[in-house]
Amino acid sequence: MDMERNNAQMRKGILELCILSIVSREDAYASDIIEKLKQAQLIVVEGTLYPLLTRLKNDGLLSYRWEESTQGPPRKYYRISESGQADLDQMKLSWKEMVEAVEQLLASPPSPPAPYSPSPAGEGARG
Amino acid sequence: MKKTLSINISGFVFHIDEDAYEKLHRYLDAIKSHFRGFEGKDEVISDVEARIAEILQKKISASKEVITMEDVGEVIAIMGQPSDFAVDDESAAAGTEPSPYSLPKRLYRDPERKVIGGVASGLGAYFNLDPVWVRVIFIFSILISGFGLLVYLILWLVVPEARTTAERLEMRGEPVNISNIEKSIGDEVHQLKNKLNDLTSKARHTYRKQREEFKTNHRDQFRDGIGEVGHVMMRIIFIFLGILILILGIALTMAYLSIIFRFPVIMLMDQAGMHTFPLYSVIERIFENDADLRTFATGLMVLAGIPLLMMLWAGIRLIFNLPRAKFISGIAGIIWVCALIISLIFGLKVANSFQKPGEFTRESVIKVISSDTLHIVANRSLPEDSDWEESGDFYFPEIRMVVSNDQKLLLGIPLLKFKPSTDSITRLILITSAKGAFTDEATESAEKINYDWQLKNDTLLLSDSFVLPEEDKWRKQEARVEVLLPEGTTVSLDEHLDPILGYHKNISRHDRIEKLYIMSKEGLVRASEK
Repeated sequence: MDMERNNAQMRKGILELCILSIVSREDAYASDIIEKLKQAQLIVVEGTLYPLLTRLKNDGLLSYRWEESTQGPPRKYYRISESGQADLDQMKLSWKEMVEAVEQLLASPPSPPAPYSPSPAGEGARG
Repeated sequence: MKKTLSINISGFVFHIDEDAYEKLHRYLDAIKSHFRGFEGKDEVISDVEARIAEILQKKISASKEVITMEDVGEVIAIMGQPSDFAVDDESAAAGTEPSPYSLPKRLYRDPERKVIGGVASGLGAYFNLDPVWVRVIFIFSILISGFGLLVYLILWLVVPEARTTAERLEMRGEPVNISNIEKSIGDEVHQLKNKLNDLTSKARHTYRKQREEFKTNHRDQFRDGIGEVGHVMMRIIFIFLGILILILGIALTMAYLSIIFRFPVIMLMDQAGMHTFPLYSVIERIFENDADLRTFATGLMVLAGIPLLMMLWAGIRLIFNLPRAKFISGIAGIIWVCALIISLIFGLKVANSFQKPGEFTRESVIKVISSDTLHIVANRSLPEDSDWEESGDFYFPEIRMVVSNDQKLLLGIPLLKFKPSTDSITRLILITSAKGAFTDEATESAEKINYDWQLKNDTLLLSDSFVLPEEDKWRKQEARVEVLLPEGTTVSLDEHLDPILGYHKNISRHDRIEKLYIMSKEGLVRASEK
């Protein structure tokens, strides 16, 4: 697996979390979501968003309704569903746990391994 | 002034420049193929198009009615390149598997996978067929009518070669976009590097293996292709062939075995009937020692035996449709070559024993007492001419040798010549010669040759053969008997001297009985009748 795909997978998971979070606060259009992400310094191109949105909708985590627009074709207005909310809470927990674990690993100083000492005869696993 | 097209995106009409249209079109195609296989594909695409329409709407105004290249560029920037889309694993990454119905496929010749002109591989790429099949079709059509050749040539001339990466992608029906092209080029570079690395033994190895697979695949495909009827016919033909070869092989093997096991030895057909020829005992006398002979014989045995065995094996194989065992031919070949080398070595060894000539001369005085006619008579050990068939002996005039069957003797036939003596003394000069590996060896052999003659009163008894003692090897021993007669000596010649008499100008073979000859300066001439 090359790094690109690895990164993409990771980003995708995180993005889903972010999208759900954004939509859970208030209903949004796709462009709104992009805007909010950009504000949070998470730059994504719109093309990335649409497949994710569609999948979330297909999985039942999001729903949408059509809104007419003066500036062009009607737009999808997304809203989080109940199961979406439940998943979101779950994902938030997992995220917190993971972040804490990683932070801990990254922060702790490396400790030297214990010196090896052979167990004295008679002790140990001889059965 | 530019040409514009009218397009419909998500239900909205736009006027767009021709080049902008190309760009947009390709972009949308790229997106479409990117999401190929993705579950919500259609929905996503329509979302994307809606968004694009929205973006483009904003650009249109009273003063700008047409979408330009820059606009499309902005759209792409906003929406992102397909390669930047993070997608599920379900949908394949941009264009690795060309589907038969994918984007505009164009027929090109494939220079990367060409055998002759790339026509077959190009066709294969276009129709999604293995080029191998295309080639089979071509070959069949050529064999049947030659038509295929014409078609191939026409295609070769007309269809362009896919040279640029973009063309290659088009040939395979993969979307031509930057990422694909990059990928394609990257692949090519990578491949090139690998090829250079593998060029030596690995490449050879792989090539050999592939040829094997290719051959096997083709054999199997050929078999499948022939079909049941053809199959059965082929089997029948093979079985017949197999039986023929088997019969031939068995016959030869029997002959071969009869030679090796010395018993019946070689039967020679003669006017009188069959006689057994003691081949082995003759050969025994040629080889230096038993070990040499056995080794040489073994070598020859294997030399002749292995082809026979292979023949039998081939016959059996054909009859019973057994697979070839590659290692059998390999081992057989190696053994055969060894046998060849051994036979050559020992054969040469024997030939070596004949390479140097040696000569030995003995001179004796014949004390002729009376001055009457000297009768020259043969002391016979050889049978009469007509008796050869019954005698059981074998006469080889070319090498002046006789193989006597019952006693297993080797007899040499001397050459008798009469010459004028330089003085008044009658002499007999025996010149023996033989061959050997070294000159002194040869001379020694020559010395050992014994020739019997006797003077009894007025009769000179000359033996008509000389015997090779049993311990002696045959080394092309020869004996020349020169009888030197003083001029004026009268002789009578026994008819039984015929086998050993050499050429004399004035002596005719047929007409000698009761005739007398006188030695003169020019040799023996007929004496006037008494």
